[in-house]
Amino acid sequence: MISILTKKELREVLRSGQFRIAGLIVILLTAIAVFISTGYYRSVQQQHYQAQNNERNVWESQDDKNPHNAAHYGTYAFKPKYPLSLIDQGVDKFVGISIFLEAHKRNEAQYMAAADQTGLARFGELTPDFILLFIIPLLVILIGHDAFTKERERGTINLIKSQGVSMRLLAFGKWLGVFIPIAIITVFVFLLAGVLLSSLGDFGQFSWNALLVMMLIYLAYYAIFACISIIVSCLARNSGIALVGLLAFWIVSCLAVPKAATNIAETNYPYPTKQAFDEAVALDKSKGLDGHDPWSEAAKQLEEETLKAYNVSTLEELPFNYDGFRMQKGEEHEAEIYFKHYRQLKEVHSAQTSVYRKLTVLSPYLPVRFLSMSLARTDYNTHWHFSDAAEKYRIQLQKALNDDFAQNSQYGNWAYKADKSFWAEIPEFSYEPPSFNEVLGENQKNIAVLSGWLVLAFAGLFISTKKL
Amino acid sequence: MLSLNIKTELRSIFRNYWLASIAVLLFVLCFYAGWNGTNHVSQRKENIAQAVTAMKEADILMATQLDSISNGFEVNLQPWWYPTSPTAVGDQYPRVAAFHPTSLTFIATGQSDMFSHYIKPIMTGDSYTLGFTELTSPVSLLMGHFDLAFVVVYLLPLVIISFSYNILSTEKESGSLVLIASSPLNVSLWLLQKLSVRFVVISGLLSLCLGLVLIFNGNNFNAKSLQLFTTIILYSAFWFALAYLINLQGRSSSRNVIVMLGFWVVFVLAIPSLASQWANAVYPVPSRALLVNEMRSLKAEVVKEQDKLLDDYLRNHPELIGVNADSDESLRRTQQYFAAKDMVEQRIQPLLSTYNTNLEKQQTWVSRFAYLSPAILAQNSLNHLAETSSEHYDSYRQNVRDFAEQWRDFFLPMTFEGKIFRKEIIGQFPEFHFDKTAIRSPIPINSTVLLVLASGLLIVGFRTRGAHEMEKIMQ
Repeated sequence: MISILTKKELREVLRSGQFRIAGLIVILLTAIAVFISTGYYRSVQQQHYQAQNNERNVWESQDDKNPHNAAHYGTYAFKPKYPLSLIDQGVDKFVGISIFLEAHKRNEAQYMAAADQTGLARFGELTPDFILLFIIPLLVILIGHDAFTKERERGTINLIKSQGVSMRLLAFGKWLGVFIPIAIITVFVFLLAGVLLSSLGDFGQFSWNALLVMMLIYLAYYAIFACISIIVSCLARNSGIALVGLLAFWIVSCLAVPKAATNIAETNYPYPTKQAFDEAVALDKSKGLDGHDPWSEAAKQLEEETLKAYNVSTLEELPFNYDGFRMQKGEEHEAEIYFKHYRQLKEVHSAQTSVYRKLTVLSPYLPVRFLSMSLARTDYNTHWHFSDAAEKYRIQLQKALNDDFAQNSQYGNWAYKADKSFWAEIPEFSYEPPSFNEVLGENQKNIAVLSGWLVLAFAGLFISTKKL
Repeated sequence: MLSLNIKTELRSIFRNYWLASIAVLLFVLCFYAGWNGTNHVSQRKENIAQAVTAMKEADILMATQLDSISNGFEVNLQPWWYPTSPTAVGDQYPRVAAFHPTSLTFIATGQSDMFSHYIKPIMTGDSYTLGFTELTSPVSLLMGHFDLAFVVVYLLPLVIISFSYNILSTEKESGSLVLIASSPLNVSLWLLQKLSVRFVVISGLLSLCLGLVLIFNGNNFNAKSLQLFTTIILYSAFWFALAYLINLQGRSSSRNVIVMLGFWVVFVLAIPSLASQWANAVYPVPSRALLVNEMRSLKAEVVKEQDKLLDDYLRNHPELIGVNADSDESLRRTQQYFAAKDMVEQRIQPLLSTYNTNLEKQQTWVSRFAYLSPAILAQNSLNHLAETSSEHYDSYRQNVRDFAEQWRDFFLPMTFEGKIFRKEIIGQFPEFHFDKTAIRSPIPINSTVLLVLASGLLIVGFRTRGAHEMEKIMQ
């Protein structure tokens, strides 16, 4: 029976002009989005490779120099792009592309793409994730809104009832009629993306597993929208009201709730301003050891402790250059301060995330958005991960430079210069994003909420058909 | 006939529960969005106020320290941070160059969530490294804010659609169109009158809600609020005119609603996102990554020349220039420090100018896409009124850079002449004024385009469907 119902629904949907036109438009828009995004990402990726290589050349081409001056000269860490960012660019354009790694200071990632774009960019861009998250649910609504209302408007519902068809079976058949064409389009788009991504050599290591999970998440998302469309169609008086009601749900879910969540999160857990953050860091730094200031109390204390530890009476007697040693201790103190302040920022970020998470009960869009970005490695957590890795590298870099200064020169010899061959000996910055399993582990709550939505949507579908 | 039609329409609207629902909905949406906007602005005001208070307190402390030093007392500072040194004052007591919100800022978040609203340029800072992006969650930037602009640009058209999609089709479906057809009426005119009544009712309701929100936010009615009402009314007029054209096609209510929602998707979602993506693909933003590279390569070249002037160590730590040096040596090093800095600025400036010119060209080109959608036009106008547009932030950045130069130039002669900084000079500090005169208002042209679009749709509708086509509609 269910196969007969599904076949009938599918035939009806596929024959309808609405679906044909809308489906064609969606496929056309997807093709445009994939085409433009591929071109854009290839050029960005190429620029990043070029920038990273040039930066390394600039670093290695330094002349003989005092290692601390090289530390100030610094280097850049460029954030790589990952294959699935072609499908979901997440928050990429709202975070910087590179971090300047220098002595004494942890810098924020600079040059966010959105800051160089006009206000037009804030409407969103026609990228594959825009189509997957916003447009395809609209297509689901378009084909599902009149699933029952049209039967009522034509009077065919009574005919169906008179045949003794179970209304729940009918509803499930209608759900399949809506879901199957959408699932075919989705599977096709993801297969195409998979083939495209595995053929693009310069896109990093591509994982079919991540792509498959991403596809399943979107399929669950559309299954929820299909259920809600059928439920509303079942309850509405006519197709017009069903469509308006479903569109209202779409707007609340995809636009209004995420925006309201932002307002709630920012009002309750505001980030400090950049200036206030920098001043708080500077204040904490001033209370501790500054590698350049041997006259401060902290410096005097370190001096006493070092002399005692090495059982010598003057700094000249130490088996290393105390200036380099003090610089390193200063770096360690500053790194701790940055760690403390960035941990506070992360706490704000976690509190804000919890607001979004709480509101996922009002919007299936939110868990899907967060899951999709995480799998594409374009979410905020991946950015934090990159930023922390860059900071870890910065600390190691400073240590290598200060150690060279301390080990190879005498106390007071600021004229010491490391040989230019030393710069190439320092390992290059390399970054590995969180693994697929880590991503899934971090997103357990999002997966649970999405599953909850799916279960509730099906439960709603079966309960609402009682009314028929 | 006109007055009878208007009376009938008004009676039917006021008897219908739709109007009450829409009134409540608009009221709730406007107040919630207005409240969000007010919170956002309050945070901004508070941040600036805190920075200004801290600056004033620092000035008072500096004055006390200067008194103590002149009276021969010790102060709890490292010698190189003594406020008797003009360079130390220029670095340690910067001014707050603030971008204050205006009375209408709460209506549109625009670009305000992305950029800093106060900067404190210091004397030894490089103007090209001044950062303007704010510490904010990229998730917030991605999701956007629930502000009045969102209510107007995204939600208002939907309210209009729900209030106007079935005017003719309901009459047809209920059979009353036959009665109307029996009277000597031009159907286009009849529909126009009905829609005009609805347009006036919705505009009135919206103006009332907005007016109340403005009053609660302490706004006076002035030229700017008039421009706000004009923009919103013209944007509503466009959607009503579209509803007029679609109603005239004589199709069923469900067909009408699908077509109108289709237009909403096209104008509010598809065109802006397609335009944004397409514009960047055709005319990409010049690469920042490559700019960083070019700047680094250039700097690597300049470093060798700088080394001839002053050692790297003091270039990186100018505060230590005076340590272990007599006053002549200290002055010589200071001059060398600024000469070395100028050398980099002069070499990097052409590169930055070229980049900024290219970026400006790209943005000008992209901004033309605004004319493809009334939603973009309305958003741009609202951002301009709220002073949260890209143009406002571009101008603010330029003003701050100019001020940074002014700040440095204020202290440089004192530094070079080896002068002692005195308390009396505090009152002569340059102050930051944000000169917005260079920002061109897009409102006249945007409003004209909206008016032309709305009128165009009405004329097309009025001309193509006359009284003689009633039969066609009734089929």
